[in-house]
Amino acid sequence: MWRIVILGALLPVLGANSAFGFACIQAGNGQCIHWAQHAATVDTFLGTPTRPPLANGTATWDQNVMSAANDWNTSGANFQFTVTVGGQLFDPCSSTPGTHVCPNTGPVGNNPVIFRSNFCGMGFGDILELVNDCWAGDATILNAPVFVNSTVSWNAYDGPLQFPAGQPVYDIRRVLLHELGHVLGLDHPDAHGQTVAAIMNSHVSNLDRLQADDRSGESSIYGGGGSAPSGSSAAPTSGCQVDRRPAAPTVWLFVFPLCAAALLWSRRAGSPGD
Amino acid sequence: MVVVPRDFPELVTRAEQIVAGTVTAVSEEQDSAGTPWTAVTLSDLTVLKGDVGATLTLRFYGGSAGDVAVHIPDMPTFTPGERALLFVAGNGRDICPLVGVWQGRFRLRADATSGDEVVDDSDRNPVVSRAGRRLMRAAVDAPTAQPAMTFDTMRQLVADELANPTGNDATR
Repeated sequence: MWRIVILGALLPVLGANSAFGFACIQAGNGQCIHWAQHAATVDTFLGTPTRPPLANGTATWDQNVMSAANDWNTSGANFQFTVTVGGQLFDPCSSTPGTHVCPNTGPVGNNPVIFRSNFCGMGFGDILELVNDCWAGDATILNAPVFVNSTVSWNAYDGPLQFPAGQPVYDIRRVLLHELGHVLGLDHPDAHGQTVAAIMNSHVSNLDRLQADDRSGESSIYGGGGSAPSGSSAAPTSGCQVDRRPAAPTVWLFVFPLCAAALLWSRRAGSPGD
Repeated sequence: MVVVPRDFPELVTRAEQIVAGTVTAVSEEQDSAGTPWTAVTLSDLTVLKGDVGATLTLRFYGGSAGDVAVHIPDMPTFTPGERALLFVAGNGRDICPLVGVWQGRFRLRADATSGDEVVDDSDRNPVVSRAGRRLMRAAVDAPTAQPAMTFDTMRQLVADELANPTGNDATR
């Protein structure tokens, strides 16, 4: 099973307010899942809305994928998305044998962004958009298709969430920004007891751009941006399971040594997967 | 993932079952198509809505499939022994069998002072009261000084909402 680790627990300097919050998805070997080459190609097949342009002036849904990817690309982290529009779609839900590295994904490195009314025959329930992250035992991400629920109302706009006539219309750009964060391995900071401003928080909000915490999270996995670990091609590693509650500064006096001990232990144990 | 926000009346209305119980087993399985699922079984059930047997097994998408793992970020995960209050819908049909995903999952724990069983949200924020359509949470929506709501109070809120629904089921 996967576990979640709050990357900030390994940062050596924590201010009195400890306003970190970013979190990564942790594989069974204790590492944050990550793209080994610090890069991923996203293939968008969202196409064009029925009545363009969208409210933010873009003519296609795909332009919003590119815009969201560009935000992550310019965050200062040592990671790059490449976005292609159209091309050959390897359907994550197809039953073609031998083409799916994980169930409901596709070939290695294939990351389509697609509208669907269900998730490979399974109901979305209340889910607007999801990433089906697939990774190997060494925590390297193999692919991460993005499914956008086509049964809800979408547009693309900046600013506060819009509810015309009391009905929600979701901004696809900020939601894609969030999902691309999952594609590169980040999880929700607020689901782990942290209170920070972040596009990666679990609840869609009036935030429509990456926040400092989001950028710090990306840099923590891939380096760059002035956040540890920088310039390393080694897998980001953490062996500590940090309590999900907000921690008072003094708590770190013993949490940090515990994390260090856990890290050493996990490196010794070191078996991939659970 | 990003989900539709659900308020308290929506949780109650949209839930096919509402149950409190103890997680007694968590296991990974694959269906005939090879799709990985995580099965979470609850026992010692208190049923607030719907028909449920002596135990309830919920299926959440994701898990291991051979030497790889597949996972939708923020799918709720459970640990054997934990107590939970769950607003269930679409079990076996949807990829997450909870209304509003994490919004339909509450954690139950014994209060350190009173010993009463009290209610936290999925992020471990204590639920302290209901205000209109919302459940207020300590440190998020309300001052932290308020005590956490007891499970008995929550159970009564659910019963009241079932008896006298306050709201429409909203819109997607």
